[in-house]
Amino acid sequence: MSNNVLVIAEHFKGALDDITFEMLGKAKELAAGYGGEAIALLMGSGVKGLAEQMGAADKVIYVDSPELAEFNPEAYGKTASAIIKAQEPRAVLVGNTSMGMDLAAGLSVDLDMPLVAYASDLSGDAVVSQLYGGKMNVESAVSGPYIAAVLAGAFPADAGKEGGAPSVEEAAAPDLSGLKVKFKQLIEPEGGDVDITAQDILVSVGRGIQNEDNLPMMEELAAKLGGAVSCSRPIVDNKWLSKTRQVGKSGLKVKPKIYLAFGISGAPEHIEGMKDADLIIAVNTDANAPIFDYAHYGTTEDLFDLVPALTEKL
Amino acid sequence: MKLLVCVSKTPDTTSKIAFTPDGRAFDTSGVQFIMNPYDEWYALVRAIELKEQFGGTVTLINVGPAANDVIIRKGLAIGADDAVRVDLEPNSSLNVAKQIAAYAEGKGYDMILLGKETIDYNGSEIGAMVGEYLGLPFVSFGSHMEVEGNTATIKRDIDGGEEEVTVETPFVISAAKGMAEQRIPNMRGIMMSKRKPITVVPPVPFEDPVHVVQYELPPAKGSVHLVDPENMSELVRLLHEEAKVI
Repeated sequence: MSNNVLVIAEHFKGALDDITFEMLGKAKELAAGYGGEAIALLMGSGVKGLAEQMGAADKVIYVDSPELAEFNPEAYGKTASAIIKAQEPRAVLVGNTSMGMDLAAGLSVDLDMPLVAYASDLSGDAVVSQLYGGKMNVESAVSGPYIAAVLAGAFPADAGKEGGAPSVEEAAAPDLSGLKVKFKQLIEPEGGDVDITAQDILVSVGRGIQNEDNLPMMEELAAKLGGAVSCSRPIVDNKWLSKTRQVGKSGLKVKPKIYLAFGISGAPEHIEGMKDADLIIAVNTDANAPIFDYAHYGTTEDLFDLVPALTEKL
Repeated sequence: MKLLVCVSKTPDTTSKIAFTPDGRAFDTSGVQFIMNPYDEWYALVRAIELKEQFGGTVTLINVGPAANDVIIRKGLAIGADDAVRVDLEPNSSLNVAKQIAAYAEGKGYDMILLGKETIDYNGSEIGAMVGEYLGLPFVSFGSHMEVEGNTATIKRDIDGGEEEVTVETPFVISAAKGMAEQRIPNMRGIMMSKRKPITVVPPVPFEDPVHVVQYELPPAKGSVHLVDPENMSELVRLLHEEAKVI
């Protein structure tokens, strides 16, 4: 085993995701503590250019193969496994994202490395994870090499964006023939709706609005503010709004100037999609709702009292 | 089709979260436990639908103590044929996956289904781990699945959209919303469930590499500026002056 920390880089449509930089920054710090290096592992097709953007790493290993052009858990898993076996890192960091979690659990078994998911803090041999959608933390001790699935937004991306001159090496892909899961097509959310990623102001609604009939009130507030209505997952699951309005891990990442969260508790999956808003204002009757950890301003005022009054005053 | 559905026990979503005084375990007193909804509504019901379409059997597997039999019976009432309980208080995903894989090994299941996550730990780990232990492909977050011959075409949720994949049996799949519709057990199902067998098997040995040091409530709020609910005008002022929205 080495004292290195290996980060599995995530990228989508030709750009590295923020989570990659967030993990790189932390990996540097952890590796320094262990007395090793921060290594980034990049898998894809035609991705060499991205390797150079990871200046915070001491070394970038990239694997370039047409089989890795689309994210396929089986192909990425086999590749990551081969590299990790060769590198023997002290710790492996993956994003607690849909891609990361597709890889992490399989790698854990394949490599016989314990996996700690929902990691919000890492130091030495201790990992702090969030449970119950952020209502509870658990600290685990890991013996020997481990894999941590890191929550988006847990660490600042800036430290991982620092420039540098990492050594870049290409590694050969393992045999990827005979994959059992075959990618057919990407189904993007239907267009024609408001593009919430292009809005300066979002009035975002969650389970707390209770009823579809309360949506017009929110639409009215959004219209007065010159913004649009977005939502958390339960609203889309109930088919009150279309998938194009969903903010979060399984929806869209937004970065408006102002994000008003009404009746959204702030599960990690939602936070991932909106934490980068310039100003976050949360309205939730539960003072312990995790959304308040991310908000700049907040109130426990009942949204059914607040929204009409606010609309009136605007 | 020979189908295995993994079901887990979780606290009801309305449960208040508390710990034992030493901070090393979740305090279960007064907590109502239910079958994990993703396992019940989506994985189990889709398995029953497949059985209705193609014939075969649906077996439930749970890793847990005898108290879990109540939850297992519900699954039998919904329509599973029989159940297996690995008699072990589970302490980690890896251990649970190991137990499920040890039971399923060599039994020739065409498909192993489970929910995309439990609603308490939200780990989404077991499916991939079971697949890896058994050397079977794993497809996560399935929201729709059609089976024709040995091929399943699955729509799955990914960041920012959905994708469609195909996979040949045998495989492991985790089910998300959309995979099926919840079924409420009827009286006949409940009566029949009492005669369906729950086989109890001993766990295989497993050494856990992760140890819980302590549970704690999240630290106090950071820099949020809380506005008194009675003071609406303050909020309007903030929007005016700080946020310059209005």
